[in-house]
Amino acid sequence: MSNILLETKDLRVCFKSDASVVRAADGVSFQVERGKVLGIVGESGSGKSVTSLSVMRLIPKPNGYIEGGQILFHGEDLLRKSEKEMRRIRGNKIAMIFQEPMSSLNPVFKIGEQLGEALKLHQGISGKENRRRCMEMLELVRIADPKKMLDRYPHELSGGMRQRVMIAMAILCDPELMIADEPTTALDVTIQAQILQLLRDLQKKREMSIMFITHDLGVIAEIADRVAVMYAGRIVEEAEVSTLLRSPLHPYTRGLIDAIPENYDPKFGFRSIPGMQPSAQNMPQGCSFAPRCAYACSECGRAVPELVEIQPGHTVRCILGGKGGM
Amino acid sequence: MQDTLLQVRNLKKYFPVKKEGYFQPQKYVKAVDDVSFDIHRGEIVGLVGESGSGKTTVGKTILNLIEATGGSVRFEDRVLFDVEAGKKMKRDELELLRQSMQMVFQDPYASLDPRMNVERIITEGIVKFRTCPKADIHKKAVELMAECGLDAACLQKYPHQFSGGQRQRIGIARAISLEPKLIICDEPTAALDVSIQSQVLNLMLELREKHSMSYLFISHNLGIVQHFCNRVCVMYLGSIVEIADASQLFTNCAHPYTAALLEATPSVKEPKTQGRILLTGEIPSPASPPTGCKFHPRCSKAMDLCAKETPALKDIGGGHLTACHLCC
Repeated sequence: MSNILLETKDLRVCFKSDASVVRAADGVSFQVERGKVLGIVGESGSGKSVTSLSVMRLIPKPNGYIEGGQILFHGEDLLRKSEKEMRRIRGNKIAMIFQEPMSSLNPVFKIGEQLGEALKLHQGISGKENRRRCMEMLELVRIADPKKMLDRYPHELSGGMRQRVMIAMAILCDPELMIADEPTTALDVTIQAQILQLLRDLQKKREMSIMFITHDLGVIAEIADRVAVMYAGRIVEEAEVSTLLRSPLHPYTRGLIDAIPENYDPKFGFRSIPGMQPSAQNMPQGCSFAPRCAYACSECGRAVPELVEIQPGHTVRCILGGKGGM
Repeated sequence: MQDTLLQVRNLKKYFPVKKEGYFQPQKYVKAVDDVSFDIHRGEIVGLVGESGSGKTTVGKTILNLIEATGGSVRFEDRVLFDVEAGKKMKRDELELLRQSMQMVFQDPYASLDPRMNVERIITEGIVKFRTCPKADIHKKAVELMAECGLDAACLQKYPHQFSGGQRQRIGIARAISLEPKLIICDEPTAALDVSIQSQVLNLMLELREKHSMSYLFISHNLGIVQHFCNRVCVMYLGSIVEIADASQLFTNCAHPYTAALLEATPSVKEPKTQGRILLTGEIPSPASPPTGCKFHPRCSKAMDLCAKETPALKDIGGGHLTACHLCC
């Protein structure tokens, strides 16, 4: 049996606007192994959320569409599934949690009603058994009084509590893959630490795979096994998390790590990457990071560099072949 | 002796809550409860805490953008307000003083008027206070743009044409246009990406050096505060629990809450998923704060005394203040 649960191959996602077509994800390929956590890190506009939404086939229509590529889940292409088949996978085999737990919960239904919905729909469990299972899940995500929680409305809960409810909802049907899109960004550090630990515990216990999307490398360091760095719609580097943090090869990854306030160096002050991410409308020719890169040469502008495997399990998209990270 | 620029004493801000019934007593949310600290000339003071700890309310109350319930604020030798003594600065006097106290807001999308072009935004204060002759206003705007790393050719553009980082630069240009002595920065980099965040922080450091300003830097990001600020105040549920020099606080913090915050901050250098002592529970509602030390229900070292008596902020040596029964 293959160890790879989810694999995307050359995924390209586009958005139409009045005049132009913008490619938000351009040739994204990655693999999520069974029982492992893949972190996807990038700044706003790098295409990380678009990538995760396309796995769920939730790209907003009609302006957004998947132009090409494959999304293989258990070796089957999700892009070839009908909407009906997709609905059977969403929330059942693949679950998702979002950044803003308030806008993902329906304000007019009690927690118990929303929580049990997926179970009823996917597994036909209703009534007392449904309620019992919901309570069990709430207990699992360490909510103090699960029985009372079932009869509450989302507005009565704090941000951390809502995110716990979302996680309970996501794991209710025992999914094989959980997609977490910035699940702790809206939370305070103390609550973030609790949620991260909870996710880690659940993932170990249930041998679930997680695709964890964030802009925070510190969070990645705590939760991920492997990490892919995205910039302007492309993956620019992928490696085991400790390797990536210790010896990044792409100049962008290097810059991103240096920019973390924790890596403040009195010699340089707060280090930043000059300039800003190009907008998708006017993407530069060749390597999209070249205009901001300290190591850029004339060759960088010619063609988009290929993703090259420098060491086993460590790939980088840079013509310097890793020299930039040294 | 250091020169004190701003002196905040026993600042209180209570917001009334909707009564449960007509005959029920009026309840209050104590958003800021007895906060005292000083800012010296040229100093950067950090104010950290979780959401709901009252840090933004402190900033706004100091500027008198919301009226204080109690306490006093002095700026240089003038009293802005002293509620207990019944003193309050006159409106026109306060307006003049606003030149020396400016603010940079968290959300660069909401804090710039979408109908004004950049030139009007950054020169609004100059025009109002007539700090430079009319003929020179445009020249001054060009200078401000250059100082904040913006292209002067963009003066006629509107806020929506800029990225988040650029907008925050516009917000900073507006704040420094009147050459203030103090800028209150309310999470100025929270909405920005890491690589852009450093650009803005460096700009702020550079400008402070040049104009010898002081900052009150409100933030929840301990990583930035550690290296950006000279002194740091830690707030929990409306009160300051610890004040210390930045270097002291991050190597040798005294209050268990500060320790918990430091412990919870994710790190790329030493990831610590396992074996970490995590704070349990969440920040209680400020409408019904716990008795005694407000942190005691979540504190791992709480004693009987902690539930009964509120600890006072005491100096434990070298200007390091903490409000904890264990430390004194």
